Amino acid sequence: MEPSYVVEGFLPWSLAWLAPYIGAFLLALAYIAGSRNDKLYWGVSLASILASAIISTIAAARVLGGEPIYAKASGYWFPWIKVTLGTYIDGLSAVMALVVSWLSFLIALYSVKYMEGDWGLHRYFFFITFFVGSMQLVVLADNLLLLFIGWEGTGIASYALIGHWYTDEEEYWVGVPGRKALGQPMYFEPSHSAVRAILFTRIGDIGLLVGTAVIYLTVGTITIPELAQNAAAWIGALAAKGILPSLLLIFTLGALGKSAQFPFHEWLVTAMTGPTPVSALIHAATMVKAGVYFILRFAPIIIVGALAAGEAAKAQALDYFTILAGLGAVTAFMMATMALVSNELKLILAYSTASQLGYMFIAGAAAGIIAYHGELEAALSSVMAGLSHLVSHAVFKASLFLIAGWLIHVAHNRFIDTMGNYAKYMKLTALSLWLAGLSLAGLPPFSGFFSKELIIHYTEEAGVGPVLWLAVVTAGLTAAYTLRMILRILHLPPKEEGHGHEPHEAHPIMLGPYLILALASIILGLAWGQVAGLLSKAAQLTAAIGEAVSLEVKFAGLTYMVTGLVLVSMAVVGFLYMVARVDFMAIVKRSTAARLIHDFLYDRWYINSIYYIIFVGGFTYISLSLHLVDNLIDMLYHTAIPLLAVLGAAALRTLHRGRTDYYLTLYIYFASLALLLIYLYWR
Amino acid sequence: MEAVLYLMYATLASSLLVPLVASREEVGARPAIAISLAGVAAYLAGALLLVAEARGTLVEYYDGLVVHDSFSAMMVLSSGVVAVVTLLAAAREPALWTTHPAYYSLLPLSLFGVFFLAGAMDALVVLAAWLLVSVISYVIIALPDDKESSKAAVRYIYMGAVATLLLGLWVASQAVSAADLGIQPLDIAPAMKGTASGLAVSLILAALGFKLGLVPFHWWLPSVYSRAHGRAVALVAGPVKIGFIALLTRIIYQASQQPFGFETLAGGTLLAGTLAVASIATMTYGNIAALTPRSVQAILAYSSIAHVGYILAGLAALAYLNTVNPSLAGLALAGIAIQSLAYGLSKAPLFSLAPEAGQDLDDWRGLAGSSKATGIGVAVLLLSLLGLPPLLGFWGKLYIFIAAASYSMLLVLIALVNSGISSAYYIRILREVLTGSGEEKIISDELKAAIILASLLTIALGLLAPALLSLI
Repeated sequence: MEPSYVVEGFLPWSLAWLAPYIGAFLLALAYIAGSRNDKLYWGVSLASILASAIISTIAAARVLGGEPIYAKASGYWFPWIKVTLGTYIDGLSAVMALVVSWLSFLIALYSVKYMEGDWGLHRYFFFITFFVGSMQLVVLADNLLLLFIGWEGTGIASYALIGHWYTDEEEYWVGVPGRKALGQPMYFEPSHSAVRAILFTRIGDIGLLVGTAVIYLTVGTITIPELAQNAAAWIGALAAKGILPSLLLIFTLGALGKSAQFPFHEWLVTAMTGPTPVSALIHAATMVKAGVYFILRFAPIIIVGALAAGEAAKAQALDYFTILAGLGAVTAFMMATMALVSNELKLILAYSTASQLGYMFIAGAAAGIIAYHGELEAALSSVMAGLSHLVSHAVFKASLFLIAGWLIHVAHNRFIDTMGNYAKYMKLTALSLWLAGLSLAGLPPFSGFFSKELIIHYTEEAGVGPVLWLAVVTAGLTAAYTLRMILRILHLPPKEEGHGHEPHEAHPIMLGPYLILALASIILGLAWGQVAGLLSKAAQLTAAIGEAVSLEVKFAGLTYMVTGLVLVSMAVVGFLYMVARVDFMAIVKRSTAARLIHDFLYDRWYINSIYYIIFVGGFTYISLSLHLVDNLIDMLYHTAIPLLAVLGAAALRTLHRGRTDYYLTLYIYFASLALLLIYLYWR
Repeated sequence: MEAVLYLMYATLASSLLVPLVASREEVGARPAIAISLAGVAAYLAGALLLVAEARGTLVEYYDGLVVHDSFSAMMVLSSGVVAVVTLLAAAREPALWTTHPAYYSLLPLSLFGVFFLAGAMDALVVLAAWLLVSVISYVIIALPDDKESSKAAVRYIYMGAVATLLLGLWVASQAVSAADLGIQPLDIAPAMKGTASGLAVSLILAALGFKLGLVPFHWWLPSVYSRAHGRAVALVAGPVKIGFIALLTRIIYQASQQPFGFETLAGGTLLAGTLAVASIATMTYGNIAALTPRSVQAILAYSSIAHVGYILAGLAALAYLNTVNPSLAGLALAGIAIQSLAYGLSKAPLFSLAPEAGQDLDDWRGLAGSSKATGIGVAVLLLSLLGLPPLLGFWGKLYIFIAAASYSMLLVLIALVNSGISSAYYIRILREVLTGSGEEKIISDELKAAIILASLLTIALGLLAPALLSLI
């Protein structure tokens, strides 16, 4: 059932994404005009983001009250492909816009203090504001072209902010300086990381563009509500040609890249060279969720379309969703194992982010698989389970990153080995870390528990064994690495001497945002009934879903098992670290087997090195070969041909010796020869 | 119709008048130049009238011994235009030669000969016009007072004598293969007659090839063109050569025509193949040999050979199209006409410049610095030879290559590669002219005017060339 909407004027709703764009534009003007007033930059930035947040809130209130919004400019934006310029706010985008805008506001507020005195502050606030506009455009765009513009906008902002400290001082690197795996460096400067990020995501974005083009050619529209209404038509047409799974995968490549899913996950790890609020906002709470949003947006459309289009489409859609579930599960598991051994605070959180995004992909994919088995309502619930995890993760992960930003500042070092006993010095920060951390670990009654349990529940319903087991094991690993991190930082003495400041509590402007978010993660959990009700309401008002779903966690055998696993995992970690005080690094030094495992995980399964060997090495090889070819061509043009010309010209001219008798002989001789040849050939 | 002839006679009269007025030294050269110019003007007027009359029809003179069509009329006009430039360039310096009356007299006389060369429809007319124009050429080369000119002229005369012999043989072969001495279509159907046609073609190619510098009959050309006086060469390589190109085109056109209805496809293809081979040999030879000389006049000499190669490609296309699809032959003719005019317009002033600027490439350095107009004019003329759009030379090559493409892509490809090679030496000259600073050159105003006129015509006609196409 489709939620019905009335088309309205372009403004004021479109200000939800226009406002930050206008803010960014003003900042650019100010910069060109020569103003370097810090207050102006963060002031305009905060104001425009707040405006976006308020409009998003009003919009969400109206949408969840039962009235979806479709605000568009009259006429076509690009008449020759019939693309309109509009803002489409249904249940899904209303929730997304709400989360994005308010998190952005809190993190921008935190940045005011965090970035104080930074030499690139003006650039920073310009790009943050530009980012918020782009991100809001992604979730509010009414068509794929507009979505793509926002999508690329977030990519540019991400690139610029990852490379914010492009002067590449060592303190801003990611990885241990000098460390190599398979001969490839495992440490990354900000400028290098920025280029990696844009390259990795660009590969996927080309897929998104190609997919959009094919869909346009198939159905003649790229407007999202129309795609939802005509889902059966285009899904059926593609299935009839047998290209549905491959096309959908190409279409999804952009989402896989954006959300750092295997095999595109590498860029997110090194994106941690950016300022920490950027990591919190872009690389944890919002931009990396764009891929998930994309899946949640299109999974119901594909499901509904495939169900209506017949068996062939259903079977092909199943292939697509199964592959997607596999990628999500592999990412979730793989990244969790890396987080277990990492000793860089932000890297642990980055691994964890990619891992949790994997869960969200599993949720979207499980929906498709469940639908194939005929349970549409459960399928749509699984989609909303993905959204619920998106929301809860955004809240607690943003909090964790903001805390990390402060702790790294305190320790003046990004490695957790130099941190320790911080619980003694900063009670509120410690409280926040515990709250957000336990939510990540998935302990009841935190919000993270509910949303993750929902996903695992629907994964079980989908019935793909390996995916389910990877999801379950990952839950245990998540609890383990989270507790390890918390204990290491808060309750164990530092392993190495740092050069940090005397530990003390953060400035209220910084403390406030992460404390609020940490508290939110438990409040959302305690009030899960209301949250579930709200999301169910949102589902009712979402394109291609249009019905209420149940997001109450049903405590079944699997729930107890997973919760048990989480508790056991935490107990073991607690025992090993706090009671037995096992020195894992000493074991790694002693035992070859332990070192092999440690290095395998620490060096990210060697995937980065393999990429560099194959792609960077391969292209270097091709480049060198071409250079050789180039040199040969140069030699041909600059040496061989001129030499030939000189010799040829000289040879031809030696025949002209300036003697008349000689010329006469040649003339008569050649005339006779021509006569002879023509005589021979003209018979 | 008769008016054209009267104007031609006026040209003849002017050339006869010059020695009379110029024989007394105190008169100076001015009257001679004026009369010569009047002769050229009469010729131009006649040519224009001819072009108008010959549009879409044949104009016959002397009971059909001389026949002009739109192509030959255009060639007559072209040689007149180039003659104006040549005379303008020669308006001062030849006057310093002791022999100057002869120069101003022979210039209109050679044009008078060109009228017959271009329109000849009978072997004997060809022979007569040939003798007239050839002797004029020898004399003109010999006119300047220096020793090199005399040596070059002697060489030219010796070679020319042999060539004339071959032409005589061709006349005889025409008599053998047909009832009268009219220029006939080739008839190679019966085995023996085919051989006779082959004989005729090889003889005319050897004879006219000598005049045009067709490889391998070109031996005299580099040495005469590069050592004789530039102004004398300008006349031989400019208006006169256009006449010979017109004659060869007439003969090829007639030869490949269809009245016999014999298996002309075979005949046309054989002729086209022969011309294509000659074309490739000629343009490649000319372009490669032109790459390294230090003497500008030598480079221009070899480049003249290369240009004849391009025209031969057009003739190959003409021979082929005329037998296969006569309605398309006009494209080849247009190409040849435009190419000839572009060639003459560039070559006449450039050869004329050599005696004033100097023979050596170094002498041309900084020419643009001495005189901007001259430098730019020379650049335009060189680029037109290279075939840069939208200059006239571009259109000539374009139409020739398009026509040739219907015959053989390989030929076009080789011609294109050759054009590419030619850029090396044109740009070599161009670089010297436009950059660097040499010693200050004093270029006479008359020569400057000739260069500017030629380059303006090259530009203007280049812009109008597509429209010009309909006139041919």
